[in-house]
Formats: sequence, C-alpha cells, structure tokens
Amino acid sequence: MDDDVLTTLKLLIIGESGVGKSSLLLRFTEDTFDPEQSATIGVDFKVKTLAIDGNRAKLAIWDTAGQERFRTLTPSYYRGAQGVILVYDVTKRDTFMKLENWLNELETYTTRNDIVKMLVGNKIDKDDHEVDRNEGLKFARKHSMLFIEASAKTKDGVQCAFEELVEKILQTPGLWESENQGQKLRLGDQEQGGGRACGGYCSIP
Amino acid sequence: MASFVTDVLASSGKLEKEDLSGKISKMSRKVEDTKEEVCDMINKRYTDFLPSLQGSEELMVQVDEVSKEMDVLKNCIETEVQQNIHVAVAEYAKLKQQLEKNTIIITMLGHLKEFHNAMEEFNKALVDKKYVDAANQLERARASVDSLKGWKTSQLPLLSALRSELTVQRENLIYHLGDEWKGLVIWRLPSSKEPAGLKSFLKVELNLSHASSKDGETTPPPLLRCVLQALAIQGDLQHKIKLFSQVLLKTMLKPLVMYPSLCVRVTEQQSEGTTLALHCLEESTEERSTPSQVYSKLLLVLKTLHTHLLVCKCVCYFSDVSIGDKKLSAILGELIWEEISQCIIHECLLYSIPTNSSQLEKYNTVIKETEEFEKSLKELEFLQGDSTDLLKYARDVNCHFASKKCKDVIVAARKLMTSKMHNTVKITPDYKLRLPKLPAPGSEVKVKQETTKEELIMENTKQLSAWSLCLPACRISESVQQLMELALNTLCEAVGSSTQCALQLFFTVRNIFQLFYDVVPTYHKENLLKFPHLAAIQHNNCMYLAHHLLTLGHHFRAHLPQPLSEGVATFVDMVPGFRKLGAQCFLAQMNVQRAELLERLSTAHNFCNLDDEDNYIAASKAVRQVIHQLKQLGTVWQDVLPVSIYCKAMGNLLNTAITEVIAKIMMLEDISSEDGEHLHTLCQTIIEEGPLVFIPLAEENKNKKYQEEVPLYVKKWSTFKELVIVLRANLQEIVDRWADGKGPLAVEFSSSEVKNLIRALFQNTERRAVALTKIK
Repeated sequence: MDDDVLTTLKLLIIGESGVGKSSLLLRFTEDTFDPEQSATIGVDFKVKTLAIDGNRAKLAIWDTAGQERFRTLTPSYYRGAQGVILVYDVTKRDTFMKLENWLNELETYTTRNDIVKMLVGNKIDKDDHEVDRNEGLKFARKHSMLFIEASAKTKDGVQCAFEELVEKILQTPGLWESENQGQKLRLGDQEQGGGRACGGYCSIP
Repeated sequence: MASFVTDVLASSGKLEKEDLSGKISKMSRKVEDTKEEVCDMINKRYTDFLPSLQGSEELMVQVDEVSKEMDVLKNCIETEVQQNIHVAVAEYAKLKQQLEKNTIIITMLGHLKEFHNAMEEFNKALVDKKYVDAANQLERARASVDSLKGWKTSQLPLLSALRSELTVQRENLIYHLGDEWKGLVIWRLPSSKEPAGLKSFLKVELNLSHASSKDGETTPPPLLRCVLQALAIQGDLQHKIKLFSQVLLKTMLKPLVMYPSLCVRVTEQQSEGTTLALHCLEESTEERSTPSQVYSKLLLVLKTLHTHLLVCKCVCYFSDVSIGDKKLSAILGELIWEEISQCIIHECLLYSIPTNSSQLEKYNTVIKETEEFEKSLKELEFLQGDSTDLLKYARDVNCHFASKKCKDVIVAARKLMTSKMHNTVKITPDYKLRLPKLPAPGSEVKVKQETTKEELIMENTKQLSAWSLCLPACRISESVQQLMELALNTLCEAVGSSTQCALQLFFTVRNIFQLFYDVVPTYHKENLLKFPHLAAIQHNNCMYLAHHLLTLGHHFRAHLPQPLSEGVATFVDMVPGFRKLGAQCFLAQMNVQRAELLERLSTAHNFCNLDDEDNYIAASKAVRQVIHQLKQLGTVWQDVLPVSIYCKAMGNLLNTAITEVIAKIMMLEDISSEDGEHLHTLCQTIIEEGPLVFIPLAEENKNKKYQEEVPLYVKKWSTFKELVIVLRANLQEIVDRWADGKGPLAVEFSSSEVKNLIRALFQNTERRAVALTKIK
C-alpha cells in the first residue's frame, strides 16, 4: 500500500468562513472546483500522498469549519498538527483582519511550537482585491509564516502552497521525525532513535 | 573669830533656859483644864444618863405589847371583810346577766314584731300590686331575720321557720313579678324545630305593653318600671335581664347583623304597647350588610328598648352586695356588648375591609360611622368605657387590610399553583415584567450610573448585546406569569403602605414563592414525571421565577420602609433554590427518557446476526422506535424550552442512543459483509434522521442551523460517523482514515478498538495483516 512513504504529516486548514478552505483542499486532492461548495459542517478530512524531492509524504489534511458555531470542536483537531494553512480571502478585508485571532487560537491549542505555517491569500482570480499582496507578505513575515497567493478556481498556487508547506516541514529538524523518535523513546530504544533523527537532520542540505 | 562662836553659844544657852520655863507653865495650865473636864464627864455619866436609860427600856416593853395587840386585831378584820366582798360580787354578776338576757329578748321580740309587720305590709302591698313596696317590705323582713340570726343563742326552730317563710314569700313575689314581666315583655319566637335561617327569624317579635295605662291614673308609675325596680330590690334583676339579653341577642340583634335583608319595624299602639318585629326587605341582594346599615338597625332596636323598657334608674342590690346606682341600660349593655361587638366585627366589619389600598381612604367613613354608633350607645348609656373593641377594630383597618390582603394573596397564589400548567405564554428576551414606575431613589445613584456608563464606553467600544442577561425565549405557564404579576402588585401595595402593612405584604410575597417551591413539585409530581412537555414548562417556570427574583428585591427596596430598605428586601437567597428545583425536575424527566431509549434499544438483540431476517427486523424496529421517541420529544419541546437547553437535552438523549449502539457494535466479534451492510443501513438511518429531530423553533425553515450543529450537541457523533464509515470501508480506506494515528479514526478510537473492528469485518488474509500493522 503506502510502504514507500517517508512519513505521515498532519496538516490543518484554518481561516474565516467562506475564504475557500474546502475549495483549496478539493482542488489539491481531487483537482476539481465546485462553485456551489457548501459550508463545512464540523470538519472534513482528506488523505493525499505528495512526492517532494523523491520523498513521498502522506498528508492527513483536516479541513476545519470556519463558522464560529463549530469552533468549540476545533481544539481537538489541532493536536499533533505539523503544518497549518491559514487562509484569507483577498477580496474580503475582514477575513485578513481576523488572522490575528486565528494565530492566537493556533498558539493556544497547538501541541508544538515549531509548527510550520503557510498563509494563503485565496480568490486572486477575482477583481476587487481588498488586501494587497504586499500586505499579506508583510503579515506573513511578521509572524514567520510562508506566504502565497492562490486561486482554487484557477488552480493558481494551490499545489505550490501544499508543496512548499510540506517541504518546509520536512526541512524543519525534529518536526516530523520527532514523533518517530518519541515513539522509539517510548519503546526505550534511545540510541537508534537518536541516530535516525540525526540522519534526518543531515539529509537537509 | 572665837569670840563670835562663844557669843553664839552663850546666847543659845540663854535662850533655851528662857524657853523651858515658858513651856512648863503652859503644861501645868493644860493639866488643870483636863482635870476639870474629866470631873465633869464622870458627873454627867452617872447622874444624868443612867436613869434615862432605865426609863426608855421600860417604855420599849410597853410598845411591844401594844403592837402585838394590833396585829391580832388586824388579822381579825381582814378575814371577816374579804368573805363579805366575794358574796357581793357574785350577787351583782347574777343581776347583770339577768338584765342582759332581758334586753336581748326585748330586741328579738322587736325584730319579730318588725318581721311580722313587714310580712303583713308585704302581703298587703302584693295584693295591691304595689310591687316596689312589697319588695321593700320583704327586704325589711329579711333584715329582721338577719338581725335575729346575729344571736346564735337559741330559738333555732323559730329562726328556721322564719327563714322558710321569708323564702316562700320571696319566691312568691318573684313569681308574681315574673308573671307581670311575661305579660309586659312578650317574645314571639320561632319554634326550635324549624331550621335556623333567615325565614325562621321573620317570626320574631318583641311586644312591650303598657299594662298600667288602662287604670287611668294621672301619673301612674308604670307597672313595668315597678316590676323592674322590685326585681332589682330583690336582686333578681340581673338574672332576668341576662335571660332577656340572651334572647334579644340570639333572635334579634345577631340576625339583624347577619342578614342584610332583615329589618326591624317598630309599631306603637295604645292598647298593645310597642312592638318590635323583624321583617324581610326584598330588594336587598347583597351578601353582607354595610356597617352603617347594621348600626342603624341596631340603634333602632336599642333606642326603642331604651325608651320603653330601660329608662328607670334603679338602686340595685345584687346578692347583698350593693353596686350602687346603675342604669338598667348599662346592665343590659354590659351583658350584650361583648358578644354583639364580636358579632359585628366578624359578620360585618370583616367583610367591609377593602381589598386594595385605593379603597382604604374611603374606609374613614366606616370608622366615623362606628364612632357615631358608639357615641349614640354611650348617650343611651349602654356603653360606658371609651374606645371599645369595635372601634379599635375599625381603626386598625390598616392592619386588617394587610392581613386580609395577605390572606387573599396567598389564596390566589395557591389557586394559581394548583391550576393547570400547560396553558403557556411565550417569553421573549425583550419581555419585561410590568414593573411599576417608582420615583427615582436619589440623584446620587443616578450620577454614579452615568459615570460607570462613560467608563464602559471608554474601555470598550463594543457593547454587550441588548439581550445579554435576559431570559432566553421560552414558554412558561400562564399561571406562573400571573403569579409573578400577583407578587408585583402585592409589592406595589406594600410601597404605599404603613410600615407594619408593608412588612406583612413583603413577607407574604416571599411566602408566595416559598409556597410555589413547596407546593408545585408535590402537587404536580406525577404529571411532571409523566409528561415531558410539562417537565420542560416547569423547568422554564422555575428559571423564569429565579431570573426575576434576582432583581425583584432591588427594584422595590428603596421604596420600602426601614428594615426592608436596608437590604432585608431581597429575594436573591431564593434564586439558587428555584434554579435547582427547575433543573431537578427536568433532569428527572431526562432520566425517564434515557431509560426508555435504552429499553427500546435492548430489544435489538445486541445487533448481532443481522443476516437473520427476524434479528434485522427487531434491530430495525428498535432504531425506528428510538428515532420516533426522539422526534416526539423534539416536537413537544419545540418552542417550549430555550433553544440552548433544547439542543443540549436532545443532543444528550441522541448521544445516549448512539453511545449504546456504538458499544453494542464494538462488542461484535464477527461481522459478515451482509451484517455490515445491514448495520450500515441502520446506522445511516440514525445519521440521516438523528439531526432531523432537532427542531427547537416553530419556524420550520430556521431549524437547519441546529440540525447542522448536531456534532456540537452529541458528544459521540463524530465517533459514530467514523464507525459508520468503517462499516462500509475497504482496508485502504480504513488505513487512510487512521493515517498513522493522525486521521479522524485515531481521534475517535484506540488502535486496539480499530484492530478489533478490522478483525470482525475482514477475513484473515495477508492484506488484513498488513493493514493491522499500520494501526499502531
């Protein structure tokens, strides 16, 4: 089945309601687009394998509901996430303004500090932009996030967003191996685990 | 020198010589004197003294003899005289006794004579119907007998004979008097066989006749007066009047107070005298007569009695004790006053107490009328004391008003509590109690409020919703809303009332709520368990009351008198109790529903062997029943429970059902593909129809939101959904949802649970083994 995957990564897509989280996921996983995409109830989940530099990573992607009323369910989704895609709608300024809140929530519930964050400004196919690319970039820098503008409708930047995120995760020492290491630690085999972690670290150029 | 010493010596010798000769001559003179003296002494002694001594001794002897003779004589005299004295004394005593005896006999005879005369006079007077004289004579006779009794010495048989004669004559007189009384004061009473009631009293008549007027004398002492006076003298008046007063009270005065339609008519006729008769006024339909009506009726009766019966002023003796001058009307007044005033209070004044404070002012007229009534009675001398019970009662109208009000309020509250609960009214967040507008407590408070408002604005531009802290929309019993209004109205009454009254009213309001706390859960106990609809309403009722109790005291506090305004006026202490009461009631109902759900699911035979048709039908039926039960609950609670409570309650019950289903499925060890298919179908029914039972709002189109939010209200919803996916998934799909422990399957189930499921669902193949290794 998927014996050749290097690791399974847990990714989370968060952001205000209606910014296109589910559309991004649908575009990425099934390469389709539904203009009538309905609001996500609770949470959605998809699995996709992605090859980066010859390494295959299995992505367990959690698509959360942006609506306020489902927020009480979210804390459990954050657990163990290694990457997060933070989405806003470039044509709706308030979705950009709310990013601070999302970062706050992320910080509150995430179980690790080195989680990799990717800021995605969605819907660039539309005309009436309210958030400038530079503003997004500036915000991403300020919070040390990756940044990309994308359109689930036109495919622009979608694949790239996921790939960059995964690449960054794989490059981050101790982020994806650490749980293997942790597992080994739990098994009591400290030396071997340490060795593998070291190997992983060295593989990054 | 030597010559001086010799001089001295020579002179001294010379001196001594001269001295000696002088001394010797002196001595010889003295001796001569002594000789003469001694001679004189001896002469005196033997010639003068001795003969006189002899004489006196002789005289001594003579004196002794005489004194002896005297003693003898004295003894003789003494014995003789004393004997004579004793005899004389005894003689005198005897004489004295005789004299005394004679005196007694004379006075006794005098008394006897007096008695005899009195008796004769008495008999004469009695025949002439001069009752007063007769009574006086009899009294004289009695005084004589009493004087005779003073000497206990003798004549006992005579005394007792006199006494019995006296008694016989007294009885005789009293009998005559009674006879006359009967002829003068004639009662016509209803027969005792008739049931007491308005009609029986219609026959009551009192006739006071003027028997003496026919004699044609110019100034006849009215016979009635004589009779009364005679009775008074004989001490029997009190008794007579007492009997009279009892009949008067029972058959005339009390009915007049009690029946508003009864009226008294006074007729005066030359031949028959004055007649007081009760008759019925037809137009009166009121249940109770007003105080003024009662007063005028009573006054008419008493005035008539006064002019025709009681005017004579009597000197009365009651059983030897004189109580002095006392008008007959005063005696009658004393006898009837207490009873009639109690009767007026209970039958008339009690009902005239107003029911709200606006009428309270008008009650002054009743107080005035009562004062007038008492004043008239005082003029007629029925009454002597100052403020009596009656007036006191009327004057304490405030107190009685409060008591009556409190009683009415509690009765009304109880009635509301025991009325049907299921008539409901909708409460919306903008619903406000109809609180009375009270004057602002003080300018200080206002200023304070303004400043806090400003601060709030400065701190946070975002304001809370206007509906925060409001009671959420729900339905409560109409009776409870009325109960709250009753409490409010009572508190409003308290605000304008006197301290005593306000206190009483305030605590009555507290009692209302306490009563609700105690009465409602008990009175409606069975229905609250039987009907989920009622349990929800009761829950809302309690929360509604608790919500308003929070601020109720605060609203009125500043306007209530002293101890209350200082913070006693609060209901906050009752709030937790009411919340608990509401919660307990609803929880009990939830437990009933829970047990019923589990009972229905227990008929599903643990969902095993669903490839057998009977088993499948049973399980399917159980699932249908569960959905049906939930749907029914969802309907009866719709628009009744606040939306949040509704969703929580329904979510909890649905959670109970699916938790049971999950547990049963997880216990299955072997699930054939057909089993799995059936299980999936059953579970899919729940997944699809479960959310549809969430219909908290009456507007059907607004419920979709809550149906979407089912994962929020049903804790095990996502677990159940994962399980349903697994039931129909292939191995790869299961492994993907596990996703190295990072997928949703891993969130809901432990690895061993998932492994067991895989083993139950799939046959033992290599592929299964590989999949199992992925679940860590």
